[in-house]
Amino acid sequence: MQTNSRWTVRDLVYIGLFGALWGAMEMTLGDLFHTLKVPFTGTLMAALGIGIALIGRRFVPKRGSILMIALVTGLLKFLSPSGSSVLRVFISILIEGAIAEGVLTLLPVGLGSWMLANALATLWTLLHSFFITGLLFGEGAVEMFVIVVERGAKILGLNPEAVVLGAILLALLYMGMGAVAGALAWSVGKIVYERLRPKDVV
Amino acid sequence: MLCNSRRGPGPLGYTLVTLTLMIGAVLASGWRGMGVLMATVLLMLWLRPEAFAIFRSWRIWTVAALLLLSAALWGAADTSDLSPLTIGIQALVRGLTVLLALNGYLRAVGLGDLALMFEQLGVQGLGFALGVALNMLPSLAASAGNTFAALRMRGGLRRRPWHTLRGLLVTILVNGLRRGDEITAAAESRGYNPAQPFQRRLRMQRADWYWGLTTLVTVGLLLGWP
Repeated sequence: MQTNSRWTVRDLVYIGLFGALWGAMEMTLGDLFHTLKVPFTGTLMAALGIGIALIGRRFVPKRGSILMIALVTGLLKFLSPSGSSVLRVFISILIEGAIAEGVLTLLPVGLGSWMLANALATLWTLLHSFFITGLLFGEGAVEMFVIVVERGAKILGLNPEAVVLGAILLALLYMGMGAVAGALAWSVGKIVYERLRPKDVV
Repeated sequence: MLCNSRRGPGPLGYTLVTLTLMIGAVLASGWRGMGVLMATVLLMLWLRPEAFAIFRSWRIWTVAALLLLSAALWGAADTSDLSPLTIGIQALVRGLTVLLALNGYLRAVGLGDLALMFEQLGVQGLGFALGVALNMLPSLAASAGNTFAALRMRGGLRRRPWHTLRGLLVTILVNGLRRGDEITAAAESRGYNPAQPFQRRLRMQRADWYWGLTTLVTVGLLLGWP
C-alpha cells in the first residue's frame, strides 16, 4: 500500500510484534528470574530484549525501528501494576534502544555491529542506577555515594584503584553478556529470515 | 478515560502539572523545596490519593536512609556552603517530590492516552503498533507455551541446550511473523493508512488549564518569593 508515512503497515505490525515479544519476555521470564533471585536478571533481560529488537531490525530495516520497538515495549511495561519501577524500566528500555539504534546507524550491518550494539546497550544497565539516582535526588546524591564508596574502600583496607578495577571488570562482564546475546540474535534472525524471506524485506 | 472520570484534569493537564512540579523540585532549594513537596502532597491528596502507595516500597526508604546516613557520617563535597546533612535532606525532599508527582501521573494517565500523546508529538504509527502488540501478547504467550510443551515432550533442554534454545526461539518468531502477516493483510484490506492521523486528538480542556495554571502559579510563587 502506498502511503506518505515513513512506515508501511507491515513495518508497524512487525514493530508491534517485536515489541510484544520483548514485553512478554520481560513480563514472564523477567518476573520469574526476579522471583528466583537469579543474579544479573536486569542485565540478562536487557541483553535478550535488545537481541529481540535487533532481530526486528532485520525485518524492518529502517532507521528508528529499534527505537520504535523499544517505545512499544516500554509502553507495555505500563500495564505492570508497580509504581515507580515502571518509569525506571521505561526510561532504561528507551535509552537501551537509542544506544543500539545509534550504533546501527553509524556502523554497517554485520555480526560485529550487532554484537557491539547489544554490548553497549547492555552496559547501560550498569550506569542506569547512577543516572536515575542523579535525576531523582540531584548531583549531590551521586557525589555522596561516590565518596561513601571511596571511604568504604579505605575502611576495608582496599585500594580505591582496586574498586575502579572491579568496576571495569564488571563493565566487561556486562558487555560480554550483551555481545553473546547480540551474536545469538544475529544467528536466530538469519535463520528466521531465510526461512520466511518476505518479498518486500531487504 | 481514567483521568477524566474524576475531579482532576485530563492527560495533557496532568502532564503540565507533573512537569511543573518536577521542574519546581529541581530548581527549589532550602525551604522552597519543602514548599514544593507540600504542594505536591496537597495536590496528590486531592487528585490521586493512591499515589502515596509508592511509599510502601522498602527500596525508597532504604535509599533515603542511605542518603541521610552517608550525608551525616561522611558529608558531601567541600565546595558547598551548606552542611552535609542539609544537602542530604534537600536531595531527599527533591526525590520524594519527583517520585510522588510521577506516581500520581502514572496512575492518572492511561496507556492509550500516552500513545496518543506520542502520536501528537510526531511518533507516527505508534498507536497502531501498540494495538498490534497488545493484541498479539496472548497469542504469543500461547504459541510460546505450546512450543515449549512440544519441546519438553522431546526431552527438553537436556540435550544440546544451546541448539534447542535457538530452535525454540526460531519457532516462536516464525509463528509470530506469520500471524503478523495475517494482521497486515487484514489491516490493508480494511484500508488502514499509517499516514492518516488519529480521529481522536487530545486537547487542553478548561480543567487542564485550571489545574495547570494553579500549579504553575503556586510553584512560581514558591520559587520567586523573596
